Amino acid sequence: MDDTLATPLSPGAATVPPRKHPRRRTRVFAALRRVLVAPGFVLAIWVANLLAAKLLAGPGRAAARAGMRDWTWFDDGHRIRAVVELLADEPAIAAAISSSVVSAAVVAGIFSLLAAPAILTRLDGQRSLAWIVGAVGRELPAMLVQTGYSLVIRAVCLGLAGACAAGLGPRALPLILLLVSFPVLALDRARAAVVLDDARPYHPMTMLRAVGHVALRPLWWLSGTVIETLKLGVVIAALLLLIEAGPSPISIWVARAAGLAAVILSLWRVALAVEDRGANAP
Amino acid sequence: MSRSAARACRTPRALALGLGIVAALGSGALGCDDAEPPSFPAIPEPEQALRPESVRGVIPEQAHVVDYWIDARLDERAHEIHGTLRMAWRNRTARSVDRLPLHLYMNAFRAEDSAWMADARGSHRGQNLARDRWGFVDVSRVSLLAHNPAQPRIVLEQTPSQPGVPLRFGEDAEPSTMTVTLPEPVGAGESVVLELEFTTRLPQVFARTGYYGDFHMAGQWFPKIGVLEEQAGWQAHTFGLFSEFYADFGDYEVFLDVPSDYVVGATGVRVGEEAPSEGRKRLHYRAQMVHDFAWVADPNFIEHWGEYEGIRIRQLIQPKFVDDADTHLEAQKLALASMEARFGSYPWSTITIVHAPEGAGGAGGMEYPTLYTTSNIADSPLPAWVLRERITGVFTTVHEFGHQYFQGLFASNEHAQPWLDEGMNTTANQLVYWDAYGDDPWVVELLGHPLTTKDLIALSMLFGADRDPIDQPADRFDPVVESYGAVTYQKTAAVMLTLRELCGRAPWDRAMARYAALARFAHPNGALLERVLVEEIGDERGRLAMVGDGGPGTVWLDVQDYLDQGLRGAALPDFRLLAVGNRRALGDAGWHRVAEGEPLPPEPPQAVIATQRALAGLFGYAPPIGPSGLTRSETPGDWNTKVAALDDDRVEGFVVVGRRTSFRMPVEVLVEFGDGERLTLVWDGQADHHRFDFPGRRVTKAIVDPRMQVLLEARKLDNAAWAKDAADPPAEPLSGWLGDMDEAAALAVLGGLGI
Ligand SMILES: [Zn+2]
Repeated sequence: MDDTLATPLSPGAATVPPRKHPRRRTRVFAALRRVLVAPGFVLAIWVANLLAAKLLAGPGRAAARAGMRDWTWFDDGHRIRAVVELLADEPAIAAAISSSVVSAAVVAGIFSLLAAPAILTRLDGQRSLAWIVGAVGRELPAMLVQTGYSLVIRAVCLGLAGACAAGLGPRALPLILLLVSFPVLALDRARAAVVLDDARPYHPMTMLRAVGHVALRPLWWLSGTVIETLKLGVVIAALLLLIEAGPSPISIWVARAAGLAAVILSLWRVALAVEDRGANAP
Repeated sequence: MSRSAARACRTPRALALGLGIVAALGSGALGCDDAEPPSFPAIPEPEQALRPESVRGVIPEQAHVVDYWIDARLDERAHEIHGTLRMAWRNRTARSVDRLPLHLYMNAFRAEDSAWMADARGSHRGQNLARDRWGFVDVSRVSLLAHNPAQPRIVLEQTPSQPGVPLRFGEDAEPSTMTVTLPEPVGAGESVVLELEFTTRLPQVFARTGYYGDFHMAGQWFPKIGVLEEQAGWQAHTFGLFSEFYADFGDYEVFLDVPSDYVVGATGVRVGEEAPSEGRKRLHYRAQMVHDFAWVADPNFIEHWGEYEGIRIRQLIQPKFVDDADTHLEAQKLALASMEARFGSYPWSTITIVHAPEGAGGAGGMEYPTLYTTSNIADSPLPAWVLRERITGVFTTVHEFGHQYFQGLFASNEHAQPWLDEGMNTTANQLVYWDAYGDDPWVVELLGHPLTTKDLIALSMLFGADRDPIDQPADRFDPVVESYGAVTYQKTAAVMLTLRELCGRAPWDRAMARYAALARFAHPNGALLERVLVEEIGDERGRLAMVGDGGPGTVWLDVQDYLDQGLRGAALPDFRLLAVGNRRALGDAGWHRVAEGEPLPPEPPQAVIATQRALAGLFGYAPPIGPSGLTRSETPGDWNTKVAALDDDRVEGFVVVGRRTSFRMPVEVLVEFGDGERLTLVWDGQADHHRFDFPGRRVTKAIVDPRMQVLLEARKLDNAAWAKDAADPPAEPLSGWLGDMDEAAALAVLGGLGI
């Protein structure tokens, strides 16, 4: 794919002063196009995810395999029983699996810090690998600080979401999703402001502006929430499908495909912030 | 437009959207909570406490031992019951007794150092006794109204003109029993009528009984006489953590004075109601041929009704859970259908199902004659395609109803042999599921993967089932060992259902029907059950031929030996597939001595011998010529071929099965061969291990206990394997599946959070 589709994208974004965008509406599908014109970048992130997942799941897989020794479970009608017996008698398996999931969350957090500047610059149209990699180094301290601020917003939103869940039960799900997505979108916006719009990298106002920015754009907030929900739905559905299908060589590839979808959806969400660049410049 | 102007424009839109969402959610959330509690068409109270004799059969007169007349008033503020109790007790034994032991069960909750509380340390089934909410029963007077009257029943029901003869009485050292001393002994066949005055204070709901707000569950609330046995004398055990109850059958006339707005459920049928004073009502209940009387009162109960073959099914359910009433009713009917078919008719005309309110779970899951408390069905937010279950609430209903037979109707001594009630009931509960939903149905289904009745029983063997034998009195179980539940309930069920599977089900079913017929109103013991099982399942020597017809090679199941190990040994059976593989079939290549009398092989000409020796010497191998007494068979061409590459008829398959514990019993072994054929063999399980050989056949895999007949064996992962030399054994599916789940979960987390 070439750049003919990506007309609004400007090369060397950081060297060109940010444009004042005349529009104020969130352009959801323009944001998606920013992702789709960078297939190599998407694939690179996906492959990194696949490798990390494969590595992280290695100890759990090996522990399960070792736990079965030379025996084999043939009875498809009693799989849960077999899994319970295996996990009960070989607690190392459950420990390895849970630690791999926790490690995945930590790796995901670190990746999100490191990769954010690269993702933002690439989605903004920058294609120079050196520039993209350089952005990671340049912006890391600011990413750390802004992420720190966002944790406060996240805590508030999660508290509110928890209160909704306690008060309204499962019916509050849409509200919970809106609240949970909000700090993610605000962080996207704050990062975009720092990386693309030269907002003050360490100032809390950058994050607060981002908060106001998202709060005042219902279409963004809503479409970001829908994207996040879709992503969650896709990965959970793949996991459930894998469990439902039982042992099968194919279903792990369904999960891997869902991983690709999750990467695209995440980038789409970030691209919403890139689409809005300049709107919140200092 | 300036930025602030733009913001001003946007704000109302955002606000409107937010408010809209909140309003939509709010209306959904609050819209349906203040509806009127539903009411259901009532089914009239049965006139008789027992079903007609043509349905329930004749009740032996010998079983009728003690009648009670109780007048009780509930003080709903103090949570106390003030009562007068009259009791007509007949001595049905040949013994003569001058003292009467009575149970004061409620005193178990009187203090921290009662025998019950010392074992429980304030906690029962995960629920704690609330601080300073002790319960007790205090007897203030005991008098003798009559000794051997012509008609004890009349003395019982008439208000006496005389107060009676005061009797000496006192609590025993352990206050859950008391002893009344009689002025003269009660001889064989004689009777006495006693009158007692008592006050019972209920604890806050704990260990089956007590109050919670307005809810009052009165179980084990009145002084109750022990059981006089012909051989063993008085049976009136100290109430302990694991010991339940044992009492004689008789009739009850009970008057309950309660606030008029309370909905009451009780053992038996209601035969009268009057209003003694403003705001109170006095209900008259009658129960016949029961061994206990319990009642419950709560103004919040909603009554729900059903009927099964003339049996009135009444549910007292909390408004919040009223939607579950139909599910419980369905479970109750399925339980009745299964149990009447297997264990004979249910003798009483009514059954009341009580649902304790939230917070009073300690009262849930307990059986009393014609009344039981169940538990609530779990409220799962997951859709049915993710999780289906028919265990929470439903199993409690099936289980507690099952006690109407094992505890209510058979009334074995639950202190001496708790398994005979709880364990046999748990066995019967599984069969209710089988009868209702087909052989070994799922109880939980997670994403289409079933967890079946057998799975659940077998898996519970992992959790303490090998720490104690089954057949021992309740007070021999140490709460700290945490074995009582798994051993008494599930292990008993596993022993019984394993035996049922091994014998082909029908003989076991026959045995249980015979046992049930013998046990009705008869206080059976474990020896009776074992005798019936051995007789029905075994031959004249108590053995069942698993394979063969009695000749050599017959594999026997000795039923009594199996029951001895299962009931009185702690060990559980555990088999292991020690080896599956193939080796080169045994041939006859090489030199063999010619047998005596056999003709010697013809000697080759001398020239041939010389040539062969010369050639052998030249190329450095042993010549094919030996001493005259030996003859040589050709070595086959595939001598150096690996076993995996040999033709199937050139290999000898083997399967080695081992026994890992001291429990010896037969077990099936399924063997699959290279040509796809499957063969099921039976190992008698007596030696430490056993090898099956299959000359001329290639074994591809083997499975010990392929039909999951041995519910007692929890550990089955080591029961099956591909042959070791199999050309390309597929990757182990279960661990691969777990590995895939791990990877997919890591991927979901990375993809879900990573950017
Ligand atoms: Zn029970």
